[in-house]
Amino acid sequence: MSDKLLRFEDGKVTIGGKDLLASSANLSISPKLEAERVYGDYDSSIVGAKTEFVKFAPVGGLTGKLSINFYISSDKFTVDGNPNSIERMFDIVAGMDERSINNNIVGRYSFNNMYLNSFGFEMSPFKMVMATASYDIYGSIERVIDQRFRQSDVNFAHGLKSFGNILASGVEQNEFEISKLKYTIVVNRKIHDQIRANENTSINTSPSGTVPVRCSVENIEKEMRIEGNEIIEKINIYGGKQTSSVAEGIEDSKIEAFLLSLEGEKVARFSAKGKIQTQDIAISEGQHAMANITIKEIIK
Amino acid sequence: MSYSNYEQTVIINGYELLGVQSVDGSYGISEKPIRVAGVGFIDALIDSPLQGNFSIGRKMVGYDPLLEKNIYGKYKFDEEEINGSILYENNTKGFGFTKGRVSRYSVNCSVGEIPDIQTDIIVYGQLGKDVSMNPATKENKNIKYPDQSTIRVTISDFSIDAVSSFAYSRGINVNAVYGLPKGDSSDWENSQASVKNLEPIQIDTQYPIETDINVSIIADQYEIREIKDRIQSAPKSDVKIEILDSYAQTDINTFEIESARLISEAINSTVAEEMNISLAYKGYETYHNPLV
Repeated sequence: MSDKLLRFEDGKVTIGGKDLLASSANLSISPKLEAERVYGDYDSSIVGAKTEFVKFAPVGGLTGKLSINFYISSDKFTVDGNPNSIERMFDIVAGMDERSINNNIVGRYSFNNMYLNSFGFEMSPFKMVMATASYDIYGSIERVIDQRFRQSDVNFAHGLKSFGNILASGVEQNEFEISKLKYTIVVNRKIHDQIRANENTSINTSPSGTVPVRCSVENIEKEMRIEGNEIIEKINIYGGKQTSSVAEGIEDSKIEAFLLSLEGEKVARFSAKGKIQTQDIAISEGQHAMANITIKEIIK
Repeated sequence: MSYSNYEQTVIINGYELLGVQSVDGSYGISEKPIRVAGVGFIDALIDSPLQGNFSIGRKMVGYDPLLEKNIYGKYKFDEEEINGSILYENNTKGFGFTKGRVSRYSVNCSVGEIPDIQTDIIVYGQLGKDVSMNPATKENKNIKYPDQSTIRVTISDFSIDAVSSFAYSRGINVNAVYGLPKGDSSDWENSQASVKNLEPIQIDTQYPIETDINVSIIADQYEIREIKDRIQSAPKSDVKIEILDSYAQTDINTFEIESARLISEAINSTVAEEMNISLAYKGYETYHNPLV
């Protein structure tokens, strides 16, 4: 018989049937309810009718969120020795699959109908590379038995061996030192519901009730941000570095991140190629001047 | 095989240090345990840069080469890195370091003693065997000894009574900045960064440098001042400690704080000893902005 409170060691996180090396997970699910008030019976004291609360009425399906923090490791994300299957797992490509992710487990609860919202990671010198992902969930959850798995000898992506690079409008920036690098990709979706299906009383035959028939991908944008010692000079109105009198034909800027494990094994590489969206530099007491540069790439 | 104390030499910046009483060298790695939901503990991995510590205790038996000054009259160790090692077995074996920065330099002395120097060093570079293993390349000045008659403490705003002990301490806060390794697609093919950045990209001294001088005097003419007068006037004094050779009366080392403030006074009286008064001065040294 399992403990009443779930231990961390017994509460695995599985996404799409694949166990994740999660350090934390936060699952929430809630109905969309509104208080339904109506005019009641005739009240002679006011010569009219008072409003009455009748019930909470659902005004939409069950919606939930899952956010996870996890470690990136080579053995979890390489397939046949080939790195960079993180993108495959999270399916963050232009032709992103619109099908839901099913067979998900967080601790004692399983659920289906999940869609990726965002994925990102952050790397700093001498620190583990920590990744985050967040999902939208539709439908209900079910309790399952505690599940655990065994994992040893993991090659985690680590800031000691992983490296980064920035090209300002195609030009290497050798004087740049990166003290932090952040990658974020965001998927915006549109929910489609079928009126006819949601009108049928059959939706009440399961706790999930109504779920979207389609979550189409509206746009996908990725962004990389570095914190370092410099910002890019001669930035022009197009978000490029203009070093001549001609604004046309200036290359995109690019930030790259190459994730390696402590053993030097390739884990994944990421980049964002586009225009410089923002850059700032701040100087404050007791610190060096620290700069931030953000480059955004539109995938879809 | 063991190595006795007279077979070891301590080298700092090419000087063989004199009067060394003790040397402690160590390094530490900070690890972060990796715990995963559904698994538990998996491994513990490095979570911060490697840093070492060196602590050297000496008797002041001559000019201290660590007190070399730059052209602006500031101690070189305030801003410059130092290298050093402990050598033994005819200088063939040893334990050395690179990119060290002095974090504390202190001198303590009581009547009847030769002043003690304590130097704490944080190591940001390499540390271990075969590192900075060169024997002394620079020559020390002559050995000189002070005695209690050749140590002078001068405080600008009053004539000091008989000094029974003093302590000089200079604490330096150092900020080391690390960067991510750097590389591009060709480095990705080679599975390693072209610039590994294992050492700090910059090590800065955080100013002001705080210098403290504590002086114990045997109460004679001196009287504790009224605290409200001190707070309102906040006078500044120049404090100078001169340590001279007992034989030739020439300077061995001098320590000064300009524009120091008296931050505390204490009077102590016991049945066993004479009444003594302790004065604590604190001064600040800036990077380039002169204090008046």
